[in-house]
Order: sequence, then C-alpha cells, then structure tokens
Amino acid sequence: MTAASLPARPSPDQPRALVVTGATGFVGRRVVEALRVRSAAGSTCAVTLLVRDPASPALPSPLPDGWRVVPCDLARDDPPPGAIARGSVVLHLAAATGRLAPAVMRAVNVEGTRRLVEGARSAGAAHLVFVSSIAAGFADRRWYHYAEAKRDAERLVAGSAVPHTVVRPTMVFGPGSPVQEGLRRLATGGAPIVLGRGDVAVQPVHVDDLAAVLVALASMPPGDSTTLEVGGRDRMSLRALLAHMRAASGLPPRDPWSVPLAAPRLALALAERVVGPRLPVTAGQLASFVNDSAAAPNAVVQHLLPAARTLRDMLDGDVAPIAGPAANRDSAVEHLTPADAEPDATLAKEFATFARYLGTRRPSPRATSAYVRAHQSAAAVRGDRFDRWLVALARRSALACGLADAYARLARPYGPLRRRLVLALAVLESSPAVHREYDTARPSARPVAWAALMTLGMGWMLRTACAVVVLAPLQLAARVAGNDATHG
Amino acid sequence: MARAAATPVARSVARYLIVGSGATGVHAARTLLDRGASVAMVDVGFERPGVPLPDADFTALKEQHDNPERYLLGATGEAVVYPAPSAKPYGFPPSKAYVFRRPDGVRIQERGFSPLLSFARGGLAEAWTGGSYELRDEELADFPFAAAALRPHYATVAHRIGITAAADDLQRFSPLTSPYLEPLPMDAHSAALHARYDARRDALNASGVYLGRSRVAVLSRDLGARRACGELGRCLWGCPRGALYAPSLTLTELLTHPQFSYHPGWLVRRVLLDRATPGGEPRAIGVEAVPVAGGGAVEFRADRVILAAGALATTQVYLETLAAMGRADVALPGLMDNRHVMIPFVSLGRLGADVTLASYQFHMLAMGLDTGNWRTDVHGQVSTLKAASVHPIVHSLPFDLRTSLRVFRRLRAALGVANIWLPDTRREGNVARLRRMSDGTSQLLLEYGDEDHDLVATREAIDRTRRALGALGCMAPKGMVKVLPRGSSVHYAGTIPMREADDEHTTRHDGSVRGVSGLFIVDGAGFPWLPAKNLTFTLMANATRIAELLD
Repeated sequence: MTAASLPARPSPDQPRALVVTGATGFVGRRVVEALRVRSAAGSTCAVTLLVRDPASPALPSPLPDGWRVVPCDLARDDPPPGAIARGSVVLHLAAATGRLAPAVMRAVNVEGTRRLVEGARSAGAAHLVFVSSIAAGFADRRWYHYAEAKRDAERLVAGSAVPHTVVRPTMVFGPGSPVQEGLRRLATGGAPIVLGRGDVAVQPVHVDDLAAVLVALASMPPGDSTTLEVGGRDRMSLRALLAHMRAASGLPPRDPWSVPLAAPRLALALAERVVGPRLPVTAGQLASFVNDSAAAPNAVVQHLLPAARTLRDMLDGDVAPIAGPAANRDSAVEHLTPADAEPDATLAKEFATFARYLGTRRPSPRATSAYVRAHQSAAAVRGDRFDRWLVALARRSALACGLADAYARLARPYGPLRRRLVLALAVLESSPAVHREYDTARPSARPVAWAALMTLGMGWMLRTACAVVVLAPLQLAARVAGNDATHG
Repeated sequence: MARAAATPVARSVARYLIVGSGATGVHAARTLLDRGASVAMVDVGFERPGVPLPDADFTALKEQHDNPERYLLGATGEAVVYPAPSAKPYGFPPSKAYVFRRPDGVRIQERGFSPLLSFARGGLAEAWTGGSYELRDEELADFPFAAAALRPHYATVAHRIGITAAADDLQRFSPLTSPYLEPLPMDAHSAALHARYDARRDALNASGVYLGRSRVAVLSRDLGARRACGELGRCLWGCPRGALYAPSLTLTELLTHPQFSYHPGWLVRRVLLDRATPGGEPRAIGVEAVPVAGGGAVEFRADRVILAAGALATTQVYLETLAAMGRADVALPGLMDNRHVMIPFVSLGRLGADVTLASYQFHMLAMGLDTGNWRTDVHGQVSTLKAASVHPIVHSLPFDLRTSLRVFRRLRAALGVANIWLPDTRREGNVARLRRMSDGTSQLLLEYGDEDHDLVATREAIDRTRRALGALGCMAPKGMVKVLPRGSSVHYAGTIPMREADDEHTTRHDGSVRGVSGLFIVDGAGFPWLPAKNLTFTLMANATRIAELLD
C-alpha cells in the first residue's frame, strides 16, 4: 500500500450516525469519552449506544444532544428495529472476555456478532468496525475459546455484505487495564515470575490510542485494509516488558522465574471440562504467553496513530483514571467471592456436596442445620482470593471437592476450605443415622487392611498429582489476580 | 479500716474460709470437717450441666440423644477442632465448657506460657484424665517435711476418691503405699502393647524404659453413691456414673455436711488483713470478693483463710493482697509447668482389628523413662484410641480428608498416643506479677522462658519414647509429634513455695504464708519442685496434710 491510496483524513464535523456496542467496557468507555469530547466540540454526529444495561453508571450522564441509549443484549436479542439507521457506522466493541464458559463466549462473541452483522446489513449500515483481538491471529489457540470465538466472528464479519474493518488490538494498557494489572503483579512479586520462556513479542497499546484509532475509523469510509492490528510504539519481549514494569514500580531488577506452561495448560484444559469456567485462569488465556502478540505494521494505523504512546508513557500513568467501576473487571471472580453472610440455602447445598464427598449421600435436615448454624465458626478464617476459589471449586461437585481438598491439604491446610470440610466431618460423625461411617473402625483381615491402605495411598497420590497439576497454576494465577486489598 | 465503710461485711462465715473448690480445696475442707471444724468455701463455682442419658454408651448416646450434634459440637460448633498448627487431636466438648469458663474481669497476660484456668465447681480436675501417682521419697526432697509425713494422706485421698493400680514395673517410679482398687480390664490394644512389653521387658528395662498400668482415679467397684466404670466410652464428655473422680463429687458430699457452707458466685479478689497489731505481722481476717454476676465487693470473714484456688488464681489473690498493702511491684519467681509432648503412634500388629467404642476411654498404660537421675526422669501415659471425636485426628493425617477418613478407619484399632511429661524446676526468670491497667484494674502477667537444656531434654525424651514405641511394635512418625506450649500440661506450681528457709513470699511446711498470720496456701503455688508425673494426687494429699496441721 502506498501513501497515495490512503483515505483522506476524516473531517471532524462530518455528519454521520454512529452505533456503538460495548460502550460500558474498558475500551468502550474511552471511545465514548472521545466521542463525547468530539460532540462537545461541535460534532453533530448522532450516537446510539447499544447496551445491555441502560442503567450502567459507566454511560455518560447527561447524554450529549443527539445521543441515545438503546437496550439490547446481543447474546439473546437482535438489535431492535430502528436502532441502526440507514447509512450509519457501527462500532462493535461488545465482547465477552475473561473466564467464561465456551458457550457464553460463543453466545456473545459469535452469535452476538452474527445478530449485529445481520442488523447492520438489513438496516443498510455504511461501515461496520469490528474490534476483535490480536489473539484471533494466534498460531496456538488451543483451548482459547475467546480467540476461537473472535476468529469465527471475524469470519462472519468478513463474509457479510456490510463494508467492514476488523481491528485487532494487542494488549491494551491504561488505567483499569486488567491485563496490565495482571502483568504488574507478575513483575512486582517478591519472586517475579514469567509464564513460559518469556521470549514472545509484545507491543502494548494505550487504551486512548486505540480509542482514537477506532473513532477515526468510524469517521471515514471503509478502506482496502479490512484487518488492522493496532499496537503501541514499543515492541519487546514479554520478559523485557516485565522488567520495565518492575523498574517502573521502583523495585530493583530481578530475573523472573520461568514457569513452564505446557503441562498446566493441558491440565487446565482438562479441568475446565470437569468444573467449567470457574477456574481463575483458563488454559486459553495462557495462550498469550506462548504466542507473539505484536501488531503487524500497517500504513493505515500508522497514518491514524502517528505518535502512539510509548511504554514509558503507559507505565508512568500520565492519563487521568477513568471514573466509574473498573472496566472489564473479571466478573467471574466477583461471582466466586462468597459474601460475608452466605444464604442458608447455599450453605445447605455446600454441606450436601461436602457430605457426598465424605461418603454420605443424603445428610439429615438436622445435620444440615447444624452445619449451617456452625458455619460461622468455620468461616472465622476468611482466607484470600485463592482460598475462596478453592471453596467455590469444592462446592461444584464431590469430584471437584476432592481435587480442591487434595490441593488444600498441601497448600492451604488451615484455610477456609479445610475448615468447612472438617466442620462437615464433625457434624456427620455426630449425626445419628450416619455416624458409624465415620467413628467406627473398618475391621478386616490384616492383609486386606494392608492392601486397602496401599490402594488408598495410591489413590491419594493420583488425586494429589492431578490437583497439583491443575491447581498450582491457579494459585499462581490468584497471585497474579491479586488479593482483596487491591481488588476489593 | 477505711474500706469497711464502702464494703459491707457479709458475715462472719466460719473458722476456716477456703477459696476455691478444686482438688485441694475440697480435700482440705473434707479433712477440716472431719476434725469437727466449721468451713466456708467461697468460689466462683460454675456448674456442670446435667448429663443426658446416663446409661447410654457413646454410640447409643448419638443415636438416642434428641440433638447429638448440638451436644457433641455445641450450638454454634464451638467444640469443632479446626485444623491449625497447634491443634491437638482432641478438643474439650461443650459439656466441659463450664470448666474453662472465665468470669468477666479475670484477665491474664502471658509470655511464653499458655495457661488454663478454671472457675468451675471442682476446678481443673473436672477435665483431667485421672492419673494419680504417689511421689517417691526422693522426689519430696525439696519439700520442707519428711516424705513419710505425706504417705498417710495419699492413703486418705486414695480411700476417698478410689484409685485403680497394679503392682508392676512402675513401682520403681511411683510407690504403692495406699489402698488401691483393682485396675479396670484392659482394652485389646493396651493389652497387646502390654504383652509386647512383657515379651521384651529385659531389653526395654536395659534401656531405661518401664511400662505398667496407669494409676487412675476411676472406680472398678462402686463407692458410695458413685458407680463403678460402666465402660460407656463417655469419659471425655463427663462420666455419667461418677466413676471417674472429679472434685465436684467431693463438693457434693461436703454440701450435706452441717458445718460446711458453700458460697458460689463470688470471685475472691484479695485477702483482708488486720494490721492493727503494732509491730506485729498482719493477720488474715477474711477475703474481699465481687459477685460474678456483677455488683459491689463484699467481705467474707473467718479466722483462717486457706487459698486453694489453683496455683495461678492463688498467685493472683496473693499479689493483689500485697498490692493492697502497698507492694504492687512484687514479682514472684519460680513459675513451673511440666513440658508436655504428645507422640501419636500406630501399632502395626493391630491393623485390621476392630475397636470397642464402649470402653474406658482414657489411658490404661503408663511409662517411666529412667534417665539415671530421679530429678530428670520422664513420665508418660499411653492412651489407645477408643471412643473419640474423630475429626481432629482425621484432619491431622497428611491426606485429603476423604482419604484420611478411610485410612483412619482402617488404622483406627492401631492408633494411640503416648503423652509424656518432663519435670520442671523453679527458675528466677519465670515469674508471675501484676500489671496495673490504666482503668485501675490489674492483670496477672506470666512470663516463662525455656532454657536450652529444656529443649535438649525434650528432644531426648521424644527420641527415647519413639524408640520404646518401636520396640513395642509401633510406628511413631516424627512429623506427628506435638510439643505442646508451656502451660498446657496444666500442672502449675512454684510461685509461693514451701521451704525451710525464712524467705519472703514463701510458705512453711504447714502451708502458712510467711509475713501474714492466719493465711495458708494448700495448692500447687506452694510446690517447690515439679516432678514429671501427674500432680493432682499429691496436691490433694498435701492439702489434706496441711488441713490436719491447722489449728
């Protein structure tokens, strides 16, 4: 591509109707902010925010003149008639990220995109700008449902009759960036770690730079380039990035410890099949540590973003923080965090699962109420985020409970999960109908007893090995995800 | 006295006023009453709750009680033993909560010492396991009286409370000079260990290890209103038959005595002194006590005051008394407690065997480790696992809970624990003192530091016990050994010791406190040395001895 073929810079006051999805997300809010600034500067562009939650505090209030909010959950619903005006530009940012079930990933990222593309087509939209992810181009996308979903969504967009541009941002940094925060934790721990060898290429982009590119793209006709990878100015190895982040935190340099990734990825993938997306990190998310995520150079991006922020700019945090709730906060984590007062029904269900794990199919109502009543004494040790993950995992099924317990015995022997399980055991051994399963001996011939002990020992080793392979990375991830003090 | 105006005199209660209803208080009272004296006892006196289903064994209790979960674990699970670095393999059940309940306002600060106090009727021995051992003559060497002076009182107490014992190898550590009852039949596991010891006696004795039946204050035949052990397996939760002795049983008897008055609900703060005699030493005339339920202080008057509140509470009352005399800064050196180590083991020969839960629950075997010096000999009691709250044991196993439970059930008949104790001596640095708080109240401050040789001796005792258990066919994993914090053996002593020398803050051979007439100490505070073996029997015998001497 030559400079001659570049589109003309858009005129800021070019009247257009603009439809934005994902306006309350991490990137979406900066895009909306950029549009609001433009609107305040006199733009007459009509803006429609297609949002799942019209009451979200992340939406601008009051709305600038000519703006409107239209509720629509693309995972379930087609865009309402009239939401997309003929000739409008659609900026599609809505996406499901983080740890979600593959089905949810697909419902939002693929089916949601399909609905929007169809809505845009039937409304006669002029241009669809689809924000994908650098991960859609990863060579190794094993178990990365998000990347697969984005890739499929790109294909849907590419196969549609709507003029389109696909944007693949690299790691997006900036105030409230989950990925930046996660990497910072990796870099600044007492023993800094890097997942994998750390030699993959990275090129973080600042969220406001990305927003500027997106707003600019929305203001100009679709070009020849349909897939644009957007990165920041600096490109480096992941290891170097971590070193920079450590230095920016004022810490002395320290070589990060390299944590091998192959086995944990496999184990996580297997575990996800059993326990679903409740794990704090998914096998797929670890793909970022084995794939280059630098942006392919592109003249259009170069043109729209001639002076992208440097890494130093991003680490110095010279951009004012965005008000409102942190963008893209890992909702799954919030969901897994037990509230201080847990409903009786939750505890009763938890007890039923723990009892099943300990060998009682149907504990009596009185035993259940004893567990619920005594729960406060077990919950006296609140534990950290990882402890709560373990509890959440153990609640899912007797099998998951065994996995969580095996690991807790090694890593968190005095933590909340063990306390709850011990309480369950204490209740069961006191309970009339079932106590014999707990407080009596199991007599047998001595060789049978030996054989049983051997079998139990082997079973324990197997269970523990599985637990270590699956949960050690989670514990690591919990460290990355941080603790209560910083994540509330 | 200036205070008298603010503090109404309750009454002149008796010739003798005893503070506390624990092991020493009730036996001093019994002897005094037997001598025809009048005795008043002032006590906090938290009461033992009623015992449900007194004829049900441990299993039947779970099946017949209308809420066994609540009975065994407490209304809010307070008796659950959660995993913790310092968790013991057992916990005190809700039915024993009264033993360790503290009245408001009793505050203790400790450094290097984790004490248990009791304000219950019967005191700490309401929660003991009954170990009752006479001291050897040499072990009484530091006491300011001849060993022979104590023997009749061992006999008196043994007669009162009923102690089972057998003439066996342990006699070299603990003589049998009193009337003892036949021991209870041994459980199968204890019997197997004993048989193994018999087979290897020579080798074990050569290495200084001696095993025998533990001497226990449990009835093998009925005694008065108390019934012989019914093998219910409910010892820990409180024997419903009164077979396992507890001082509250003696208190119940005392309550029927016309010369005895019991004043529960009062926390004694200090001894009241009459300092009217010019130049003479002050005289104890009673105690000042506050109602546990709240309210103003009251005086109880008597001719003689006997402190039997337990070594720590007696120490506090004594220090408060000194403080009221203007001596608030006294530090009493010599605080003692036995080092206590728990050594769990597995008898490999018992794998696959069954366990009878309905049996006497506590130790049936005791051991002595001869160190070549009677001052350092180690005492042990061996408990095999029968009825128990199993969750504390299960979660201490190194597996996930489900595997641990299954391993536990396979091993259950083979599990046991050897509890060993080491002697302690009075040392200058281990002190009790009062700490004045800004609100005018005070706390008892206990400071204890181990010396290097304590740790060396502890390690040696652990190694020898583990080797001895090995010779008995047991495996005692080193990782499971628990050295309990100082203070947890609950054998407190030594702060106001009996001695010949006329030193301040000591007592004479008759328990009389030097510097105050009419004030006596009959509990462990007066012990000048702490042997390894369980103290309570000697405490009771000594209190009886002193009560015989009082005028």
